[in-house]
Amino acid sequence: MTETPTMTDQSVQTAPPTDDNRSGSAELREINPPTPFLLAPWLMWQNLRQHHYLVSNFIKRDLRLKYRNSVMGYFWSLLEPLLLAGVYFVLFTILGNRPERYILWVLCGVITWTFFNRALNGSLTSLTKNGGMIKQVFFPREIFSFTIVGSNLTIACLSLVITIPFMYYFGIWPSVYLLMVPVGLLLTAMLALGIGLGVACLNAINRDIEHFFRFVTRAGFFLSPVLWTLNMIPSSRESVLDYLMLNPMVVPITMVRNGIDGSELGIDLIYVAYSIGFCILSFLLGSMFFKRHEAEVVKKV
Amino acid sequence: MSRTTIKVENVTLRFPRQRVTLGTIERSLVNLLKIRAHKASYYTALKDVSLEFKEGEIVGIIGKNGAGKSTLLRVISGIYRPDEGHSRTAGQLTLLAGLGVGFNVNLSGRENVYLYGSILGNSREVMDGLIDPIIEFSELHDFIDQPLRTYSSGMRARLGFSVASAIRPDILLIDEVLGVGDTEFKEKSKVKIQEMVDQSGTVVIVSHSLQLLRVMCDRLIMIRDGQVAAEGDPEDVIDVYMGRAPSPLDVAQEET
Repeated sequence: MTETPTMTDQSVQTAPPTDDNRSGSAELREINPPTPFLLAPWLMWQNLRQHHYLVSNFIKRDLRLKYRNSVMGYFWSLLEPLLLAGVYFVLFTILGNRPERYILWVLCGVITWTFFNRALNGSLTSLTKNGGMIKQVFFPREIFSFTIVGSNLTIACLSLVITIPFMYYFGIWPSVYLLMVPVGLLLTAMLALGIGLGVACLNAINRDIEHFFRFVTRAGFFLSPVLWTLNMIPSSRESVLDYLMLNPMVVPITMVRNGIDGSELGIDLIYVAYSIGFCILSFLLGSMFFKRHEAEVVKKV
Repeated sequence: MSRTTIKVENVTLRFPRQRVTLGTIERSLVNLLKIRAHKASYYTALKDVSLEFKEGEIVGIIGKNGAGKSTLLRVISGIYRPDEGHSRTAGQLTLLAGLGVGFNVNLSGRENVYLYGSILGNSREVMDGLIDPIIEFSELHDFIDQPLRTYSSGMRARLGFSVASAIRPDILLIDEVLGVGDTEFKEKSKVKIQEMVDQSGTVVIVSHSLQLLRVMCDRLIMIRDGQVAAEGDPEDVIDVYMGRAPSPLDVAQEET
């Protein structure tokens, strides 16, 4: 018994099993009670604050694993969008209608879209991929989705550093428009979280969902202003704008791009309002749907 | 009498029956046609279970494979929400089911200790205080900053056990995770488990080792087909389990 003193001392220090030390949590309560439908977003926020250390550890893990065992390490998050943008730059040079600042525009588009794509697909498979952990330990399950979105948001922010040399090259000085960048990223995060949380439950029941959404994000890549910008649409085709604007990602991507480019958004207020409303509403509904069905779905993972 | 820390009231839990070939088109079409029959396909893992655990108690749970022991611990820890009834707890709760949950082979031993510790519900402050004793106990000093993939499976288990056994929650639920590593480490773990059990508020142990339960527990509960088949003094419950005495459940059934 006396041969293992080190840990004993420590343990006694951190949590002695005395009555007075435990009296703070004397009340019997349910660990994961059913939540009122409308309160779900608020409860998620509280869960997130309560488990912030776990969330930050998960995000750290994701970031560490991404670049571990590579010589370039963090530089890959700069290089990856740059290489991708380089390909489109060459492509549009061949096609011959490349605007002057195209490389900067496509960089912003690629970084924002990659963020959305990874956050959404990661979030909607979060319940199915973490089945083992879900069954062995309890913590609020939305944490999986939040950490995926959080780590990809961090990577997106790191990636955006690559735009600085191009801003310098094109003589763009940081302006007040730069404030649109965090707004655009935040809207993207909310949309990815909202759809991801809501669909994660459905995906646990039927895996067809995740295959379908891989297609949706691939199609969205071309139907969102990633490779192109709104002002690259020829005026003879402006009638498609109404339909194009139904895509809620048009405004967030343009916000990030024009913010870095130092130009105004140039989108009608009604479309901006629609997009912001869409992102917020999908986040609220997605989190409510998730909390409502989580308990039942966990039995199937 | 000391206060109640776990209260399970009339808990019933049902699982939807799952088939391996879930989600093919043919099956979906078939299910559409007979949606009612499909909906009714549930199996009941826990039936009207009511239990109470007090502060300072060490309770063992026995029962055959698939009887519902692990499911009961999962309901108590919040993983499964009961379909009927309530499960309530007081204080910080930790379920130890499988060592090294969330271990990642590409992270170092030290990083994994922090990650696993936080998954088990510890704060940064607690983990900072525990890191040195954990490394000390695991005897992995030279390897602790190496990636986990360089560890042998025994070393991984030792690391997992060292983290898990360092925590002192108010309620400790242990699901068959005792005894890892070589003979020497096993001996060391036994002492450690006893220590952990002594220092935690309420302990519930699921195990197939009657020997261990007999030594450790104040009370035993036998689960059979999702129901409490016997409860009380360890020797009496073991008698029922071994078939030497009838279960009160059967006696009640015969009387009706």
